[in-house]
Amino acid sequence: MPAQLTDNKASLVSAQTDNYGMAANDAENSSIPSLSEWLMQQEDSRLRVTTADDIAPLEALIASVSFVEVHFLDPNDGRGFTLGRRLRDMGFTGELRATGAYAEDQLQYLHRCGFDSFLLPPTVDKETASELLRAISVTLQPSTVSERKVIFNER
Amino acid sequence: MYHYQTADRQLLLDRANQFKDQTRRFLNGDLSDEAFRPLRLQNGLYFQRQAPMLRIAVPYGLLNTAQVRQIAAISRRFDKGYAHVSTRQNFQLNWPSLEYVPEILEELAKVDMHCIQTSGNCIRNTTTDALAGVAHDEVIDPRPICELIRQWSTLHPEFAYLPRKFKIAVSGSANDRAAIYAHDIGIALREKAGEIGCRILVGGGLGRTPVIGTELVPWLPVKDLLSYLEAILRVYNALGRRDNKYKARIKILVKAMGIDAFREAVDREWAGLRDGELTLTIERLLVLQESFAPPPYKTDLPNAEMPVNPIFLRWLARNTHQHKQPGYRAVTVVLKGHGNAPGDVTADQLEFLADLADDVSFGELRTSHEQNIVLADVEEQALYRLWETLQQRGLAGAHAGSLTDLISWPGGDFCSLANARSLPVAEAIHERFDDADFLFDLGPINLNISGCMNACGHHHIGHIGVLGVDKKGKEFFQVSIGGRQGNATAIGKILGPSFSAADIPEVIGKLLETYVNNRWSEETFIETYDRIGITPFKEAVYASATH
Repeated sequence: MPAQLTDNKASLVSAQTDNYGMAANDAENSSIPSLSEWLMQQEDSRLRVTTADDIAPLEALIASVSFVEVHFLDPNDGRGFTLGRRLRDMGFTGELRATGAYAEDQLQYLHRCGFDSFLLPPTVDKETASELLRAISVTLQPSTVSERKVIFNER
Repeated sequence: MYHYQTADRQLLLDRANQFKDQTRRFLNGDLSDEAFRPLRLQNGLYFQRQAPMLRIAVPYGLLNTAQVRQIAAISRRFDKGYAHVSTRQNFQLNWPSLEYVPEILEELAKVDMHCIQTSGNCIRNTTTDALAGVAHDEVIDPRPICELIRQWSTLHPEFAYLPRKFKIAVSGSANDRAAIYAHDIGIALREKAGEIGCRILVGGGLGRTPVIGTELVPWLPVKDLLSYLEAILRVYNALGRRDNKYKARIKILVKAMGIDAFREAVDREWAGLRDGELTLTIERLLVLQESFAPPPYKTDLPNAEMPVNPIFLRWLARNTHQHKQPGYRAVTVVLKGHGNAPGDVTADQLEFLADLADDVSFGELRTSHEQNIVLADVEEQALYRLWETLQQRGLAGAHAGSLTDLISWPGGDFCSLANARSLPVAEAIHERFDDADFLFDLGPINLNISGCMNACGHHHIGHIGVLGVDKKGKEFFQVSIGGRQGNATAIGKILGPSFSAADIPEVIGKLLETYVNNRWSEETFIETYDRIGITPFKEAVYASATH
């Protein structure tokens, strides 16, 4: 897994200059198949989706997936939160990574929606990220926190 | 009322600290305006032209007297010594400085109050009937269910970045006083064979595209309420439009999908959620109900003799409400005095009302969506003394119409035709000015809306009057200005050709703008109108219409 993460990180570093908005382009360079590519081949255990994707077709196949990267198109695009929880509700237990234009103050909500791996926004280091992840110490409703150790990757 | 637990208190402290850090990063320049925006909005903080506005949550309108005294103290220390009751039963401070907001949040947390989710594209404060728990026609007390929804929706990790704001209202009475048909989700509580169930309406909301809520399910066992709400929110969050903020409310999604397809989508989502962790257990329901147990009412009260004082009797008829407990009445204290905006209440008045509530109403007060304060549990025999005390403070008025009065919900007094026509327009105006945030400095303006020629809205004597008319089966609205009531009663003059419902908010906006641009210092709308006449208003409205 670490090797894959490094690849992914390298490919996304170039996205920085595009100020998030164009990050979808760099994802095309990624070795990780997109949802539609993956659905055709299903050869890799990894795939990437964007917050605009409909993940319902994954439901029957989720057992063969070990890594999903969710690319946030916009910080106000809340679909990614539901997408994360739906994946976990489908029984996905692998690494669920957030990339793209999410905001650092969303880290804890993302974690509670099942994300356990983050390509951090450029201005945020791991220490800050772990603090943000613990901002609120109590919860008033059930959520889908992953049991895996959280992975932070700085840009 | 619900008493905060350790977890609730910790959450408020954490939230205050979190916002302190966010504000610090914003003031440092580490967070951009755009990045800070959703964070401050979800803490009730608006930036307006003059100063920020901070909206303080009053969950379903219930307050204890310690909270009211704290609001008074905060408004003195950090603001101009007054607060404002909003149409969503919340309090607003109109002039706090950004640097002090984290400190205000800490002060609020000391009395179990906060500003969480009072703005922004998230689940807002759940509202209900201001007479919840005391109304004579109540079937189920809605407050325990409102509290259940408060807990579930507070800092819900999945639903903080919805396509648009999301409002839930709950009613437990035969007569709906919570406007459940006009909310994103409306919940009517029912009882059948000793069991509580919910009728769920979805996609109501008036605004630009008026829609009356549609029934999603006629009977849902209360144990399934939260899992079902979660399913609805999930479908909305995944599929609601995000490309156009005017088409982003759930009503647009429901309309686009059709109610049956929407219901199927919710049911599919619900299949994975029902009978899960969100299921309400009997034990939890009982604990919630226990929180709202009736106060220790006296049961052997003699019949109260009401003094034959016509002014008192008028107040009694208009400002007090029948109570489920014999010998008691609920009392509305009207917050519309001369020279202040509707809903404005000074720190002195707040403390005075808190003292009264301790004295005659078991130490609790309520805010109503009509922007008034309700003392819900007053003994009939204490009413005359209460009225005299209120009169001495100028708080015994029966209220006159005003801009925010009419743009709040007119309740059940209106005929169905008037409701269908005037409520959508009223709400559209409300939405327009909800964002504009300048209602506070407009001063007294009566905006009266009638849905038909029967004129139950008294449009012809409003400073601004709006009348719904039928022309060859199509609906139009005629606008008049300059009318007034009281000693100088006058009929307003018709501005010119009528407008479609969609144009009305813009027309009202132009009229108000013309007033603001032309007024001399403290002049009211009607004084400006008397001085400059109808022409400038006419020009402003019709010039914009021709573009």
